[in-house]
Amino acid sequence: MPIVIEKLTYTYQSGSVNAFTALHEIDLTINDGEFVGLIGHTGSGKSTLIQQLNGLMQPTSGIVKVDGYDMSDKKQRAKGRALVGMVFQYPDYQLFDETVYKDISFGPKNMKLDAEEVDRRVREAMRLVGLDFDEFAEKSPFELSGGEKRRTALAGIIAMYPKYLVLDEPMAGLDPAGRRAVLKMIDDFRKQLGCAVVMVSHSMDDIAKTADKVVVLRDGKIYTSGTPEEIFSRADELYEMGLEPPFAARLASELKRRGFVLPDGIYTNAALADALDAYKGGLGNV
Amino acid sequence: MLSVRNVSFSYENGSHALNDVSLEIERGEFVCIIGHNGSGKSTLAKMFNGLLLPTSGSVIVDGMDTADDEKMLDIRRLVGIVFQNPDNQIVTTVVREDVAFGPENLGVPTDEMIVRVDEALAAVGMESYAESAPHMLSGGQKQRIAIAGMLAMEPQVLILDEATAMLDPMGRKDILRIVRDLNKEKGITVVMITQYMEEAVGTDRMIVINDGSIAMDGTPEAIFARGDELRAIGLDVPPAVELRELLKKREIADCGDAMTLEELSSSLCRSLLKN
Repeated sequence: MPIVIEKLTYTYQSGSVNAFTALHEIDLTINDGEFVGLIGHTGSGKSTLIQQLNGLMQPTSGIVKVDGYDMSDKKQRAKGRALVGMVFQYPDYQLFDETVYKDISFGPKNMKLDAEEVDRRVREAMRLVGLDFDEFAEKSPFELSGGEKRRTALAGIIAMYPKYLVLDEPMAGLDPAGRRAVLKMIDDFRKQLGCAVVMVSHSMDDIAKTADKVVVLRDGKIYTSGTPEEIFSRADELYEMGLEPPFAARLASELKRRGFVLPDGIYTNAALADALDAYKGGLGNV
Repeated sequence: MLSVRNVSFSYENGSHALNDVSLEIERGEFVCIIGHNGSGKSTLAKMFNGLLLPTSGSVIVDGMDTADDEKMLDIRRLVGIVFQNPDNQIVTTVVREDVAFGPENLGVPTDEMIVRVDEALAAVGMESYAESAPHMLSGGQKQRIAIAGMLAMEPQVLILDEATAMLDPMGRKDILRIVRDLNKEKGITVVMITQYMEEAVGTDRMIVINDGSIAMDGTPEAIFARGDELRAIGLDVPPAVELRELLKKREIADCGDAMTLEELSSSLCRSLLKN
């Protein structure tokens, strides 16, 4: 069963003079096991939208249902929320316990799992995020580097086996190797645990590598959605909106403007190199 | 302007963050420091205004040793740092007061303060937000306010410690443009610590830190020509350079040292399009 969002509208400080509608009539379905990339610039409503997915905020009007549980209903919300794991942008705000082990075990313990199962899940989660058990289990979260904190926060969420994993800018502030590692890790445990992933990211290059579906938000509305090919072939349009489409998509579009004949839907450097291969040695087919 | 001499630094838990680092940064230079998480680059940034002091070696700022307590205030006045998380740098509830906070502590007289705050806000394009509440601003706008707060102290050196890491692409571009202008027009020395390789393009000099030591030091052109070495230490090249490498390897085109979309597209038109 999917997450179904129908005509979701959300207004901050509804009814007051400062009322601000952040989401307007959003319709969106997140299917089992799907990888959805959510993009849009600051203020487009991305953060408001993802906080509706686990009931941290409830719709002003419209419906959010997680596997059938209506997130506007208090009792059903608790059941729906248990299916949705959420990792925020600043991992510092998510870590609070004395040791990495205790921090990661907090969620599974709350689920009333027995000690043996909790221990098994903590070890599995640490392995999945690449934190060596002997080295890190007894460390204080505050001794960790930014990348290690983020891995710990992720481990704490995946140890609960969420059916839907929601990530807000999971790679922000990481170095290139860290970005690649976290992205691969997310894709790995999606495959291993079979969960769906909703990832908010400014980096369309990262989204291009993994997403099945890309959703573009603008001014609180869904501007467009589709496969990465469909969305990134509109690179110029996205760029004008203040977003940063994958580099290869932008370059392909610029080259076409300057006289190259290239297929549509190029958004990786490898695909662009393949297309340019026809021009090898200056034998342009113009 | 900034002179780092044989600096080593160990944290209290014994981990070595810097290992015998020496470097000179000249007045008016725009330098980019790159390294992976935990490479020591942020530790180095905090050395430049004495937030951290070397375990051994010395850091000299415009002739003053950061280890000299009596010089600390002068050094802090000369060298401003903007950090990664904008929320931790905002101290008041009105933008104008926030920008005035630093110079006020330096004892700048009121009339001059008003001028400085207005100029600083204008330099970062935030004049119309002077009376706004900082917590209502976007991350990028908050970082601009943090930079304005530094500018109001009239520093000669601006250090950006991953100041763009949490911003969206537009916010990042704005900050880059602002510091580039400050460097060119006001001659402020800029040291930018970043993990975004493309931010190094357009600076005068790149310093690559790995495991607490300087691994490379040169122009962005020279350093991005060493893609494999960068990747071996957990870094990368900008996407234009990655494509350039791929085109060369597959013998499709040689795009020289192109590092931007514009350079690459012009080069490809020259080499591949025959009209």
